[in-house]
Amino acid sequence: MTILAKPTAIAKAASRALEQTALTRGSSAASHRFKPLDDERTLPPAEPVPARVAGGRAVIVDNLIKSYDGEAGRVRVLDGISFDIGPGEKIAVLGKNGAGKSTLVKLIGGVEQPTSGLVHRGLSMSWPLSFGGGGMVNTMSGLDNTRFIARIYNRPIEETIDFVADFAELGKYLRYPVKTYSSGMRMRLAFALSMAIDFECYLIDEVLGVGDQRFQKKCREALFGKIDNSAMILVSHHRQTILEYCTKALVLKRGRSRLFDDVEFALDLYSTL
Amino acid sequence: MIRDIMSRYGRENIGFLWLIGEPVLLIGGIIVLWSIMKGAVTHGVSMISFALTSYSMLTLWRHIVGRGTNALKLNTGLLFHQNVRVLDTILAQILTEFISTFLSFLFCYLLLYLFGFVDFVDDPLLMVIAWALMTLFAGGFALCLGALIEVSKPVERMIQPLMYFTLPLTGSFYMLDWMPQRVRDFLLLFPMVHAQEMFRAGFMGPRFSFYYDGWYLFAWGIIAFSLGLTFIKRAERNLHVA
Repeated sequence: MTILAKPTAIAKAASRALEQTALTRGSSAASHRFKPLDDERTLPPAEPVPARVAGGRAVIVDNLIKSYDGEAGRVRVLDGISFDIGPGEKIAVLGKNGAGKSTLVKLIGGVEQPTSGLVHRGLSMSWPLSFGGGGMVNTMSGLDNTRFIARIYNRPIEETIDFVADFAELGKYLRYPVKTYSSGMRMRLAFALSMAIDFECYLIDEVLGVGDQRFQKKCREALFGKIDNSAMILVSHHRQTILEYCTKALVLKRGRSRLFDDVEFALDLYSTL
Repeated sequence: MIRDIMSRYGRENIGFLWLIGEPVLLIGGIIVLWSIMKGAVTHGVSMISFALTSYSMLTLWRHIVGRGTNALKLNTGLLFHQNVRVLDTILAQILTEFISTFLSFLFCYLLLYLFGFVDFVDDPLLMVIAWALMTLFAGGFALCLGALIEVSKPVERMIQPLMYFTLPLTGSFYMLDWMPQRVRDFLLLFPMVHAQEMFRAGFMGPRFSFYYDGWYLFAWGIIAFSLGLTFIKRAERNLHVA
C-alpha cells in the first residue's frame, strides 16, 4: 500500500465501520471484522444503553423514526435514532447535507411529530434556532414577537423587551415587521429572544456563523459563557466551534446515528463521509 | 394560551379594527345592493333585516372555513414553540372570527337601529346560541378540511368549488317558509340552514314562521368538531414544517 492511497483507505474503512455499527447497533463484532490500519484509531465500543428514567432531568431520544411522503415515494429520513443528553451536556450533530440533522432537531424541539419513537424533554428546551427564522411571526414587529414569546413562555414582558432590545441592538427596527428584516437581523432577534427566555437546553441549527463579527462574539459569549450549565444540541459544520465547546458528537448517515465521546475522532470520520 | 394567540391576531395589522370593518363593509354593501335589486320588502320580510341576518351568518361561515383551513399554513412558524400546537392556531383563528364577525354584526345592527331601519331584536339569547352553534359546526368543518388538506393536495384545489356549492345550502338566500314542503325537508338536512333560521327567528320574532332544530344543529356541531379533532391529530404527524 502506498502512502498516497492511505487516506482514501482510511476513509472507506471508517465509513464502512460506521455503517456496520449502525446496522448491528451495539454488537462490537464490527470493529473486529476489519484489520486496523497503521494509524487508524479504533472505534470505541458502542455505549451500553443507559437505564432510561422517564421524568429524569435529561433529554432522551429513543428509537426515533421519521419518514416523509414525497413525490418519489416514502423517504425515511431518520431510522431509529437513540441518544441521551444530560443537563449541561453539549452535543454536536454532524452529517452531510440532507442527512437528517435539521429534521432531528425539529423532532427534538417538537416542531414536527415523529413517525414513531419517543422524545422525552426533561429539560426546558428552546425552539430550534435555524436559518428559516422559525418561531417568529413575520407580519408582526420585533417588539410584538417579543411580547408574544414572553407570554407563551411565561416571562415578565417588560424585562424581556428590555433584554431583547439590549442584546439584539436592532434599535428602531425592533418596531418594524420581521418580514422586512435581513437574515442577519432576524437571527439577532431570534438569538436575543431565546437568550431572554434562558432555556436549559438549546437547539441550534447551523446559525452560529450568522451576523457580523461583533454579534457572533456576543452570541458565543452568551451561549457558552454565561449559561455554561445549559445543554445544547449544535448542528454545525464549523470544526473549530465544535472542538471548542462540544463534549460529544453524533454522526448521522443515511438515517442512522452513532454517538462518539471523542469529538475529534467524530469530526475526522465525518470529514471522510 | 389561546388568548395569547388571540392578542397576536389583534395586533397583526395596526388597524385591527379592519377585522371588524371588513365584514361591516361587506354586510353593508350587500344590504344596499339587495335593497336596490329586490325592493325594500320581500315576501313580507324587510329586506334590510333579511340581508343583515343572512350576510352576517354567511360571512361567519365563509370566514371560519376559509381562514380556519388556511391557519395551518400561515402559522407554521409558530409551531416552533413547544406549547403551540396545530390545534391552537386553528382554534384561535376560529374564535377570532367568531368574535370579530359578531362585533361587525352588532355594529351594523346598532347603526341601522339608530336610524330606525330595523326593530329591536326579539330574542337576543336565541341569536347568540345560533351564532355559537354555527361557530361550533363551521369550526368542526374547518378542522376536518384543514386536516384533509394537509393529507392530500387535491383536496386543497377542491375547497373553492366546494365552498361555492355550499353557499345555497347555508340558507342565506331564502327563508324556509317560502319553500315548498319537499324542498324544505331536503334543506333541513343541512345544519347551516338550521343555524340561519334560528338566527333569523331570534332577530325577527314570531311574526314569521321558522324551521329549525337546535339539538339537531348541536349534534352536528359536536360530531363535526370531534371528527375534526381526530383528523387534526392524525394530520399533525404528517405535517412538514419548512
